[in-house]
Amino acid sequence: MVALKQLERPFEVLGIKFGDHEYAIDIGIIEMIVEKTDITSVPNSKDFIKGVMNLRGRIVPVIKLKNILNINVENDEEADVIVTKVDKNEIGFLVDGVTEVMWVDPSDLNSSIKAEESKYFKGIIQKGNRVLVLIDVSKFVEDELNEN
Amino acid sequence: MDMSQYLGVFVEESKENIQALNNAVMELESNMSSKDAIDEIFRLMHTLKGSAATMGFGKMSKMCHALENLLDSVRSGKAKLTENLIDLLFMGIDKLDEVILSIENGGDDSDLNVEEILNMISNKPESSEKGEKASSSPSKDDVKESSESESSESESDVVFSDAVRDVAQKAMQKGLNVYDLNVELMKDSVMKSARMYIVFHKIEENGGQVIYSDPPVEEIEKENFETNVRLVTITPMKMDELHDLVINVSEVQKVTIKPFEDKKSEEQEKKENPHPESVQKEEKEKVQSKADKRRVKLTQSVRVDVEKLNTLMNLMAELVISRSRIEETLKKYKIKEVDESLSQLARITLDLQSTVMQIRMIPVSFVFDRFPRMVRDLSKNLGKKINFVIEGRDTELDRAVADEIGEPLVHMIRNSIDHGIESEKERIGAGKPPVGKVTLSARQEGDSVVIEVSDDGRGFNKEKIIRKALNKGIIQEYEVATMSQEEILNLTFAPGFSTNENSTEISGRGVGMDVVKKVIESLNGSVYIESVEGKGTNVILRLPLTLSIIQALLVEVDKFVYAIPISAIDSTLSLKESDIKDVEGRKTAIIRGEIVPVVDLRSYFGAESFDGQSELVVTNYKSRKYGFIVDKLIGQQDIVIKALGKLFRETKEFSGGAILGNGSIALIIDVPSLVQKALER
Repeated sequence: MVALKQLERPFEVLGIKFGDHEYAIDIGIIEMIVEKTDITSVPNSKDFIKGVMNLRGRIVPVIKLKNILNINVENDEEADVIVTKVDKNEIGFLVDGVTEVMWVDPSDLNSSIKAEESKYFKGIIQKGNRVLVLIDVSKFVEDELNEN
Repeated sequence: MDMSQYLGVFVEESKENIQALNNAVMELESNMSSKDAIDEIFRLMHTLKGSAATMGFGKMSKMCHALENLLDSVRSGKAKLTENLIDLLFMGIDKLDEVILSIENGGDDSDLNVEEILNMISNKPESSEKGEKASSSPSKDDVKESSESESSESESDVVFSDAVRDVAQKAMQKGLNVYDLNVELMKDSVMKSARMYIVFHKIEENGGQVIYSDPPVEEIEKENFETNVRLVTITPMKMDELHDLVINVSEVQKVTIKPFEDKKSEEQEKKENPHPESVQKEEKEKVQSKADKRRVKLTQSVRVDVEKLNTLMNLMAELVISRSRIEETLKKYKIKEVDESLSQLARITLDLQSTVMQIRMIPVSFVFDRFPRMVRDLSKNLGKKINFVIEGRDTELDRAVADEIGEPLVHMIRNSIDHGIESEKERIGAGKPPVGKVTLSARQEGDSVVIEVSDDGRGFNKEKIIRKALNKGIIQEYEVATMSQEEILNLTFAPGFSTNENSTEISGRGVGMDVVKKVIESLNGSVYIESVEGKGTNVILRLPLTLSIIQALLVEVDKFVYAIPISAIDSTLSLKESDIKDVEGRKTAIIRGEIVPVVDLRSYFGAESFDGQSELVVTNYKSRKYGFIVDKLIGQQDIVIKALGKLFRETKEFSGGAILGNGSIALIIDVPSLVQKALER
């Protein structure tokens, strides 16, 4: 397994929910969080793409984060879209809901736990009783944009 | 003085000058005795030299100077114009072009190897001169005479010629000021001629004109003077204004100005015969009319940053969206009072839109003009004689499109010359004229611009293409039998395909037509090949006039709205289920006696259930008709194309999306891609 770069300074994450489970995304790439509105589906596009939405006059793709992470939650309760911006590319990610923004001390992060479900799991954050799975969304975006 | 703010203008202007230089040298090459061409080259080189010096690019300026000298020796008859010399000029221009490129990319002219060129220049013309001295003698004498008379005239520096006095007098009658100027440069000035050029330039810039100069301009250009230059200038400026203007040019040490005195020397009056006077006058008028031309051009155009145009275009797009939004809202309430102002608003936005669009349009000559030079070099390298014809160079297209098509056209033209046109021997053997013909043409067809590169070369050999495609694993053996002529030709667009056994330096290595296709398709355009073996090949690009706003028909399929570009639509008609027939598993309809393949967009877009009532949109693709079944027609509208982004690069069915009046998104159907993909299934 590739050794993940150990983060040395405290960093900020956004907590998100899928069903009863909590996940975390590094806040650096997040541009805004919007309520899910009309999403126009794009036929014959990739499986994980829900469609496109109108974000203040811009057309932004919306991705089913669940599908990327292989989370098996049998519901359709996605309510929010987290809009990220990587290299001028805006991409929205559908989530069931957001919890809060929190600071994470590097000692709270355990990145040695190997995750079977997705290559975008970056580690486990332990905050008291709460356990959050840290997701490397920017890696996913980079992979998708640079793929040929 | 900080010159960096002028860098952009400098680069832009230099590029234009280099383009013009290329054209002029080619003109000279085709007509070796053309004095106009030499003068034009001289003028352009001089401008380039001056601006390079002003911007502090000493090496570049020196280089121009050397080339200028080279030309001067031709002009004065010291050297004869030879092919070598033309090549040398071209080489020099190429070097200058490289320098400009490096400056544009944030570099400077330090890489320029002036010595190399200087050496070549000092060797070449002499060696060629020796053999041809005899033949060039008559014209040589002519030029010498005139230059002698010039220098004798400049020696008598107190008395001005009749022509100068005449012009000065007329100017004074018109209320302009005429001054006698003495400009003294610093003793250690490095670029005396460049400094003087700036002085000339400043005077002209402020509406003035230099009518006399001692030493004459030619001598100044050659740096054939000490530090003093005497000028007579006509200007609307006051004496002290002029003084300030000139003294502020760097390395000018002293300026003395006095009003021009109209002293007539009797001696000279006697000496002068009417003939040289009239010649001089003519020349003066020529100079003046040239200066006028330049001024007119300046007032007619404004240089605008493309970024600003893009912003304008985006704002325009927002306006179009807002307008349709307002229209939609007002329709609901059926308020009569606003109808008129609304239709007026519609008209204004439409006008505004087309004006903005036109601002972005530039003639294709912007791209085409560099090709004659390229063809010349290619034909020389390959030893093939080419008659290169350009047609429709005034056809206009969007700047953004024009910027992208240069590279593909280079590939196409190279292919034609390298692979298409046969050797002279081969051509004669085939009963063709020995000189190959390559035509580059552009024309507007509705909403598109069509650009064609055609040649009368050997054309594509189908068997060869198939063999190659099989070898490269692009197709399989069993596919060959069912392939149409068109499909076979389209194989050349496949990545890694190149018909020539030995890829040459000219036409790349396996990259080529696939790159062309990629670029053109990214511009929402399309490429076709027509080729008849033995007769020639025709590669046709069809490009949209503009990239951002199109007229589209909005249709509904499975509750979502899609837009089909009007330019692709032939007609629409209502449909009964029974009108659609299954022919060998493919849906077809008979429209006006023609069998048309039909794609049911409802099932193609994955609708789970749909029933009876439907409409058929008939589209045109490569002069064939294809039908799309949709649920409902909504109406025609101007839409602003927005890209869907890289995540959708595999979903070629859609060329983009458009935001509608109600804020929802309509995907824009790319008819060619959809037809291709749907019929592949």
